[in-house]
Amino acid sequence: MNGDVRMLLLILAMGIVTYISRRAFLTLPASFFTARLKNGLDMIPLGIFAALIFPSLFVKGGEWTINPLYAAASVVCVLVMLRWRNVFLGFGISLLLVLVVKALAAV
Amino acid sequence: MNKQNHMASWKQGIRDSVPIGMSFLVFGGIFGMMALQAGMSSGESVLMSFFVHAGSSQFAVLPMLVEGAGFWTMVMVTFFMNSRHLLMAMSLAPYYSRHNRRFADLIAFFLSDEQYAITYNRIRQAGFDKAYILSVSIFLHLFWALGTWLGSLFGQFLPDPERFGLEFSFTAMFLALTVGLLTSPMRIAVFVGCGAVACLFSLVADSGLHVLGAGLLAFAVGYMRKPAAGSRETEEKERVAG
Repeated sequence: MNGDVRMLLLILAMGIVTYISRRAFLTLPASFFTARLKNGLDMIPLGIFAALIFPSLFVKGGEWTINPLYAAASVVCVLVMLRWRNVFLGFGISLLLVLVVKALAAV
Repeated sequence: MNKQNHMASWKQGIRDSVPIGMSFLVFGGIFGMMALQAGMSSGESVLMSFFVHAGSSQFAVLPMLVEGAGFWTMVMVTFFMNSRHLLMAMSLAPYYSRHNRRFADLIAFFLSDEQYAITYNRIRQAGFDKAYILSVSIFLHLFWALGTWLGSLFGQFLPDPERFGLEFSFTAMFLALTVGLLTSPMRIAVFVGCGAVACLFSLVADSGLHVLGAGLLAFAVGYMRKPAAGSRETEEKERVAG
């Protein structure tokens, strides 16, 4: 197969399987949603976000690790959120802390 | 919805997507640069960012391309890495199912981790707002594709994200959006427990499946619990049980 065509087909196939994974359960019949199932669905974001957050702080290259700066910034982020309930502030202040400390360390 | 509200939703969507959009520019740029090194043309990497729009699997495919991996192997890896979206979509289903299917057909194209985090937060707080969802979806999508294009052109000028700590931007945003969900000791326990399990999974294999695993675990915990008191199903069961 010609390399360029193969690449386009690869992009197409990757796009299709990705779309399927996103669309498959995005709508479901109303009868599907029992109270139990809703309880379960309501918890899913917690698991997903936990999996996107914790390994980025504690795992690197297949080994346990801790990045003290990121850990401290995460605590700051949570505190800011608890105090002001403002995503922009929580995100901004904790990221700024990391950027400033890294910039100072580089000097 | 009147036109004024519509505009306000669009603007809010843009405001909420710009901070993470900036990170998308940088990381999309890194993808564009690495794709070039893996032998993809500038156009091909932008096409991939636009039509696949799944950062982790796009990065995963690059070394496979260099190693000459099989076509279907790369497609399967993409599917497995994105299988977490099956669950994300399912957690949105109670909201999307109430609206027309064509909107779901459209938004599924844009569903990324970050789009999910931002729009889920909004849906819970302010209800289902199509204009807002569309605005966040389109802007995040464009930032990612634009970043890829710029990276494939000017990659050598990009900052090293680890040196500047930009990689923390994703952690910061997911964390900021999660705090509002931690409304009970039970939910905090699920969050921390799933985080620990996800770490264990990702120690073994860094394939994205740890996200699916943690999502399934959280679902199972929620499913096993008794339905919240006062919900219709509970009352019905109690009535049947006499």
